[in-house]
Amino acid sequence: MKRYLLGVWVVFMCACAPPEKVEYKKELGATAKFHHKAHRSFIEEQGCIPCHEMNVEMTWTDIELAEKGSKKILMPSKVTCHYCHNNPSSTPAPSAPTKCYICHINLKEIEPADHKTGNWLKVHRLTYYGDKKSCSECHRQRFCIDCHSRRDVIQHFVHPRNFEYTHSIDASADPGRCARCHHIGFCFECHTKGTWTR
Amino acid sequence: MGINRQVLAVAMGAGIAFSQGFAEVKPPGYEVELKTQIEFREDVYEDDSFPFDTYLKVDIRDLDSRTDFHFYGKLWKDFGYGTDWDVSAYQIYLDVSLPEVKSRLSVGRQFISEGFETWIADAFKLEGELDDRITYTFYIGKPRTFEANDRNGDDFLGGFKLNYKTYFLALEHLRDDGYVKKSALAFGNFNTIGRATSWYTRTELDFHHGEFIGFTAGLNYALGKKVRANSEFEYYDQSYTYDSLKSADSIFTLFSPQGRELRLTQSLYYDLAEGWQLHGSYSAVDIQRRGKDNSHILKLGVVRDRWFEEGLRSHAYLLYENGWMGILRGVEIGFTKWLSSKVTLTGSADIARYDKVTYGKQWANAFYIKGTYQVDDFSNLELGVDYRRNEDFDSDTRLILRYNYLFWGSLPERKKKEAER
Repeated sequence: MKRYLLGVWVVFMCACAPPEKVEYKKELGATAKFHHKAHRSFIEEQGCIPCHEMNVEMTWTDIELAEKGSKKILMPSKVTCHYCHNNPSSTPAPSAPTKCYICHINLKEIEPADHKTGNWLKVHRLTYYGDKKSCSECHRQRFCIDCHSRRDVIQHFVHPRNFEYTHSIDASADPGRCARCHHIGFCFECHTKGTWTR
Repeated sequence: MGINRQVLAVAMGAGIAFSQGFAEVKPPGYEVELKTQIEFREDVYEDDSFPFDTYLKVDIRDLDSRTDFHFYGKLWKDFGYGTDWDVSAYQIYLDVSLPEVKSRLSVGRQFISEGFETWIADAFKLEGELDDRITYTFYIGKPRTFEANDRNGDDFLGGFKLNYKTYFLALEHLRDDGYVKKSALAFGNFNTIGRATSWYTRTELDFHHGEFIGFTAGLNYALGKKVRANSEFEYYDQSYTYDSLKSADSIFTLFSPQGRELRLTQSLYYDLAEGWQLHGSYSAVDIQRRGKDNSHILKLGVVRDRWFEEGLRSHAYLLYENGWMGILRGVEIGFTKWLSSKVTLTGSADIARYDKVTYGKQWANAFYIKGTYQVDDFSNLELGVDYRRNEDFDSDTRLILRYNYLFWGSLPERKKKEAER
């Protein structure tokens, strides 16, 4: 009897267990940071449709698929957000804040795959040559200037941390590369002072 | 059965409160990003000093006019020595959007004072587009370098670059220390062949001195996200002399005083398996120095990416460099670990064994550990410890503290406009 009751209880619990909910906040990522309150003036002028197009009739019977589909139909994509927030040349809302990490709290999550290759510093110009717009989707020109027009940076980007000790080998192997960024005075700063610390 | 009056009153009250909150929201007028850093360092030669460097980086953007103001400075270098309280490096510029003419204007100055060299550069740049196919850049720079018994500061840079579809043409004139360093013509392209392959070239000629400065040609191959490869050939000659037999590029001539450099670089990215990526880069360099010298630079390693599963990303690389100065063999390892929504830890170790003609065999190692504490959504605090050790030069320990902050505000005029609405 006890076994029977236990079996019934297990079946009952399984049947009554709430289905696994779609975690919209988690799945939406940056979109979850959206606040209607902050977009009041836009909504008053334009209404809901520019972002929530809702122009597809849903006929699916698979509830899970329907949930995913409705999310995609209802929720605006990054194109919608970026049209105002990441479109400096022709945004219709110039007051829209532009910093990526307002919505993308963890920037690592949106880091493109090719940035993770470890040698990205050396090869990123190839992507720049090929598709400049893909760079400007996330970076402004001052990001380039941080390295290309400045020798003394707030963060280490370019050389490994023990490069101060070993750079003469690199310079003798490939001297053309040093001169792309450095003037001769940069060498003298340490080599004539008698100290390598700065 | 009507609506309960009390419920209605509460609902109306809530509605009014909500709409009031709604009405208080104002679009921001400006956006400010602030980054500060203080770096304490151990000075192995000056026992009586307490040296540290302070850095400040400020970016202000007026969201209405889309104008950016930017400042970066390394302030009060060597505070503690008593005589050097000045700004040793700073950069300041203004970036103004001109939507009526589809262009953007930048005006700025960079100042660097290091040891015997003081360098100031004022720059003006105008970028714009005529239509979707044609863009242009016009720039003028006035760099001034002051070195004892050497430079007179008569330097000038001016140039124009025109892009048409996938082709570009550029002119640049550079005067250095009163002499024409180059009046150059550069042209090139970036074209695709199908979806997976692209190729590019760049050629630069100095028509003032009749010199051929450089040439680059490259081929990209990207088969989906799994494989990406690049092959590039470069010819580089900055060792030619110009008026008065002055060398054009002194860093280059220090290491390759007799001629040009040829460089062939191959790099490969391969998605090995779920979470594993292989990356390699190899350069073969031929430089002219006492006849001929060949060099090889190799970097090969793996990236383990479990960021979304475990909040962990790590990498390990092998290094090999072979130049006439010596040989270097080393490893680079590092990781970033997301511990919680508040704390992230980053660490790296660079270990190298080199054999130089000047010092013989030595170890050169560097270790860095940094914790980032997320104070709130838009500010964080970083604390890092950097330790470097080399058998030639003893050791160096640094404590690095950073605070980054982003905030918005409304300009008084903007508030007034909003009130009028």
